[in-house]
Amino acid sequence: MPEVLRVLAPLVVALLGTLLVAVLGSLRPRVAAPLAVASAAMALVAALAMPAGASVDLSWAPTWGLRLSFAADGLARLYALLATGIGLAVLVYAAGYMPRHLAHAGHGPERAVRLYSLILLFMTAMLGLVLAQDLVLLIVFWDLTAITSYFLIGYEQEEEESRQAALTALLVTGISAILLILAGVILFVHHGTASIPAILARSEAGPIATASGVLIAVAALAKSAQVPLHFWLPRAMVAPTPVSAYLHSAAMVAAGVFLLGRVHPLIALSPPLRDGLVVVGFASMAVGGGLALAQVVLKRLLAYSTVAQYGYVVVLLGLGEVAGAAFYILAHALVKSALFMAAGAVTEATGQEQLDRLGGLGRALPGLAVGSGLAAAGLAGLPLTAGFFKDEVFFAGAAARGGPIPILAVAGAALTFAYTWRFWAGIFLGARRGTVQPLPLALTAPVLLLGLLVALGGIVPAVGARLAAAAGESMALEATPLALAYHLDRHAPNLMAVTTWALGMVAIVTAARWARVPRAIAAIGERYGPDRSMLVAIDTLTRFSRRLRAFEVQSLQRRIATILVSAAILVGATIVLAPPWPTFTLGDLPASDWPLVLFLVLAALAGLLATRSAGRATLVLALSAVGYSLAAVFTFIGAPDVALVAVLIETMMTVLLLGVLSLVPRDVAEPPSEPEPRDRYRSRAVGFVAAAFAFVVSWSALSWSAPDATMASAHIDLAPAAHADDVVTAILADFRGLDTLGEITVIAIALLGVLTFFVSEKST
Amino acid sequence: MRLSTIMTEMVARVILLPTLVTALALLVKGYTSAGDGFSAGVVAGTVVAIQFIVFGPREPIARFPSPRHAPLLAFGGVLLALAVAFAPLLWGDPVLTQYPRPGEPVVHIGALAFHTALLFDVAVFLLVFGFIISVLGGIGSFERHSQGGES
Amino acid sequence: MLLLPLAITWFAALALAPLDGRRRAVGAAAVAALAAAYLALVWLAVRVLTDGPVEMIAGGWGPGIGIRLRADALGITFALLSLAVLVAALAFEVLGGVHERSLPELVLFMATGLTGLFLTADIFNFYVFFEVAMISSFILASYGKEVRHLRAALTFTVVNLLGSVVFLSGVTGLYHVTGTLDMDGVAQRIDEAPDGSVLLIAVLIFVAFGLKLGLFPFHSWVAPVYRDAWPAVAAMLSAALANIGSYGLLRFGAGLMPQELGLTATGVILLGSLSILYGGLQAVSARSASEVIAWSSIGQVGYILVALGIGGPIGLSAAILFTMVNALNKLVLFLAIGLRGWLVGATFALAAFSVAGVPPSAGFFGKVAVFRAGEASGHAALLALIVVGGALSLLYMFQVYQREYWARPTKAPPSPLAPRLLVFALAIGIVAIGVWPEPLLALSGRAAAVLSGGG
Repeated sequence: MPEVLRVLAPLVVALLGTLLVAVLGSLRPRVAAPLAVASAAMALVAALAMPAGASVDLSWAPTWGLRLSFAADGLARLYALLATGIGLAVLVYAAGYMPRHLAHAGHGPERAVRLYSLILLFMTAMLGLVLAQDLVLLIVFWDLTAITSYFLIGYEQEEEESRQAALTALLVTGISAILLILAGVILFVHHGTASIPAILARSEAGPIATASGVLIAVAALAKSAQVPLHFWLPRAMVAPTPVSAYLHSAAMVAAGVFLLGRVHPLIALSPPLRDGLVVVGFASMAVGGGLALAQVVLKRLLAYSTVAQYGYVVVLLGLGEVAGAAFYILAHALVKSALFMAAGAVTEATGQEQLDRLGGLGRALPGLAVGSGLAAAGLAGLPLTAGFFKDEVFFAGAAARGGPIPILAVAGAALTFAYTWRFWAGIFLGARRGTVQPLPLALTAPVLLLGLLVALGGIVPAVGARLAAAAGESMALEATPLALAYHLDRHAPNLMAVTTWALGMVAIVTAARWARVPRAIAAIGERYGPDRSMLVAIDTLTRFSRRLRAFEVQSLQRRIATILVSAAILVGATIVLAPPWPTFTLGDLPASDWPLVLFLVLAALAGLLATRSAGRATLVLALSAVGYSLAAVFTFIGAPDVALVAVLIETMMTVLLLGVLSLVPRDVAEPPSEPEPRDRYRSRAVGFVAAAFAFVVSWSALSWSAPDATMASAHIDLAPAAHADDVVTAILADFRGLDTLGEITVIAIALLGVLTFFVSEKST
Repeated sequence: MRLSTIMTEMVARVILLPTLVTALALLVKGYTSAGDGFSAGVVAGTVVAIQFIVFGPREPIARFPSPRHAPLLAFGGVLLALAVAFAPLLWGDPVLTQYPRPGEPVVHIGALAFHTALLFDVAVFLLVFGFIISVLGGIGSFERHSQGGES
Repeated sequence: MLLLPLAITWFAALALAPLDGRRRAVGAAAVAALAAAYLALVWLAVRVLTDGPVEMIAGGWGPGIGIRLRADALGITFALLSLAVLVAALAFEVLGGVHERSLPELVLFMATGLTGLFLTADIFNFYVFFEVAMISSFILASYGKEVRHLRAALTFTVVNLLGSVVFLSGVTGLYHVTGTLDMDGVAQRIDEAPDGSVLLIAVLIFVAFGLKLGLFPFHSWVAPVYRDAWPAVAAMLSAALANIGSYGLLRFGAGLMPQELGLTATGVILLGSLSILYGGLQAVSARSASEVIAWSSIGQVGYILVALGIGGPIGLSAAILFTMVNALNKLVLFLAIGLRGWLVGATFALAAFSVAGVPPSAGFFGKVAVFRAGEASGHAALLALIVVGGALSLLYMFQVYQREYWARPTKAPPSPLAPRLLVFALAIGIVAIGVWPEPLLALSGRAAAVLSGGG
């Protein structure tokens, strides 16, 4: 198999799966789920078979020097495994979950086709994102994940809540993605290439690196639901559980920290930015952990936990512990998707989605209890799970930095411990509440499987460590060894872990005393938090927009007036502001030109008359008087052809206009009623400005000296060669015959218009 | 829009033919003095318009080709012009090349010069004339229609 | 060769003019003629792009006497774009059923006018073809013949006639100071023109084309016309006819009067920025989809102007690229809002993503090109403005998308399948450009080279 295919195989398989599921699924809904699972399985196999370090580099848009370059480096391989592996688990789960879920809502199973197809499209986007080595290519896949996420969050389109959540997520991730585009363009323009390795190699500390680093970080943090842009994630829980388990815990949210890792050398150039990441990470841990304690809706609790967990990763990245961050992402993805699926299964079995209406389900749902128990232990960082090591790398990084960091780390981890217990114990322990329906295997098996993987990762950490070390190496661009094992000694991470458990236990035992505190914080957040701020901002914007609309003119007269006045202002500004000034000169007036002046005055008077609205017939006559006067002017300046045509046209126009007027009902032909005085003044002002504009332009134009050799003089010289004694005819029919052809076409089109109107009149 | 008295009817009848001849003159003499297909078309159109105004739309229809066919006249005119303009392309000359070429002799019969530009002018005449008749016909039919609607 | 596309539409329009366009055969013939003209244009484009500009002087006269016609990369790019729009819009309307006798012929006439004005190198001849296109559009604007259509047509006609007069004054002014109508001649002699004259002419021409584009503050016609016109007609007006505006600004501004453009660049960028903000802000509270798109189009042309003001190869090619992208977006959006049923929502969403500049779509590359120009200009405020504009477009496009296609289950009977498939295919085309942008990037680069490379 050529290398191109081996690198791109997972991507291609997922994309083909998307299309197949969409097409075949809409013909036969029943095949959609098996097809989707099969595609995901093949994508997983392809991802496992991806050769380490292999790359593909094809020409894409040579004009801009963009390349289709993909590389299966350590980071890409880790994420590809996550995207396909968890994708497979989630699709198996969805095949069991969706028909039941849809049946509850009164929908047919064919509605699930779109979900399977979108999940596979998301998998494609995720694979493309992690493999891409070209910045523009990366951005394309980055936004594709946001698009699929948007449609999946808004899956229940009929629900107002779904639509709101989808729009919120789209705005947060979409607008932050614009910042990423901007960062990409800045780097692209400054380094002359869009190749990520080349950009990273050429970057030096300085304003460009800092600016682009900050922009990228904002986009990444928004995607990873970090404070204060975290609020879209809890809302996104309106999506069906498979979506939450996949996109909004393991994959899409992980894309943010992936990006931070991908451009890690760039971010490392700016120490304030790294410190900023640490601050944001701890803030997310605090806010996410605190709100998770207050939340009673299962999936929302987990969403806040996700916010907090990616806070850990962001802290690690800020501390420069890239390999540790990679391991954390891996462990958390397994843990969290299992917990989400468990939450969905519990809701499916009981019909309840709130913690306070659940309890004591351990006996009734043993598989689920064990699977999610392992996952929960992992989340809390207990030994013999992969989660222990995720906390260990975190504590190790924090301890290495020193200062207040280790204390904050322990506090954050203790929060995790407390809410994880609250979640799992609240569902499975205590007094039994609610009735339980039996669950199909497809809903339990993935949870159990992921739970076992979490346990396995705790017993044999080397596999995960190797993957994470390779990923770390491709982030830091240097070897980042990661050795994970149990040490029964008193080195800092162990002490911190023990402290965490102790604190967590205390918190659990004393829960009843302080339970109100997080709830109060949550209430405050709801009222003044960023979620609310965004709604208020949109609302304010809409109201501002309405007010702006009130300024918009509505009548045709006003529309024309705005255009005339704006044109006049532009011309005035040009004359005043931009040198050189146009010339304005007064010519002399020989006696022979007096008749000319007379007719011009006549034309002006007739024009003035036309502005007095004394009835439409008068208007027609006044206008034709203007025309005749101007025609007369042409005869005086030696243009008999022009004068002849002008007279003929005026005659024709007058006849036609009067003829049409005679057809119009009398009340329409009456003069319009006298306008309000305010309008009258405004109209006069506009008329004055427009007239001044025309006057200034004409005066200036008349003051310009014309060149000696003109096209017209050439035409006069050449008329005999065109076998014409009359220059005008020669110009019309020969020199500029194409113009004539165009103009007679204009007349023909006008005729077509006339026909259209009369024919439609007849037919109605 | 009928405006019929004995006087106007008589004038309208009398001026018809002379005006059409004038139009023809304007057309063919265009290359030597003032006038061209456009003016000729407007003049001819105007005199027909006068017939419409004086006799109402029905009577002229009996005497002239029906306004129904006037659009064909107009579109045909433009097609003719287009053909004259684009034909030279067929044998490799630029668009709108007029024959005879500059420098070549032109055949004259009185004021009439045989030159492809004349065809162009005829086309313009046909268009303008056809246009005016069509519009008048349109207005007339509209009038009939609206009167029919009232009764 | 040069004139083949022009000849096909011109002859076909006249030959079909006496016939009733509501008949299927007439509509099909018109589509076929337009498609044939398009093929001829593609053929011409291939020659122009490989061997350089193709020229012909009408009547066999020398330069400066006869009318010079010329196909260069810039003109041909705009012709390809505008004709593609017209083919699609006409095919759409014919598939859905034509309601009035003259529609196919008028579209052919509009195609003639547009092709002509993109392929002429004579400023008055430009005006003539401009009028051919305009008068067709005036009549087209009334298509539908309900009160709202007629009102849209009246507004459109009156305002644009005003623009035509202003433009004609500009052309007259240019002739007055240079003594020639030939674009090459004008470009050569413009430096010898009297002080201040060219700047005044430039402003007149800017007003005329700004009005055509629907730029702030000449936008007052845009919203009512696009809102009330027939969807396919609105598509033609905004995606084909409005290209005259950007082409005119490029050809007359960057091509004939580069000094004046340079002098007023700040003003141009300022007006473009105001357009972006004003259009975007107005669109946020617009009610119907057509109204949102109308306001959005005012904002979108702002980007073209900003890029034009920045200038240089990067700025000009960005302006051209954005024009193309914007036209395709508008085409799909306006056609889509006339339809109901399966696939229509997806079509709208794809085009909406393109408007917001979200990849993979043509709009993404338009946005990147403008960003690139902004970054090259070195104004951070401009970059911020583009971000704000993008954010606004995301907000208003998807607010209306959700309102139109998610919130309301469609009660109206679905439209015929053929037009829906056509528009969906067009939307997929937008995505395809986003996946393989090279042709558009190359074309806009070549077209811009005509202006900046002394073409």
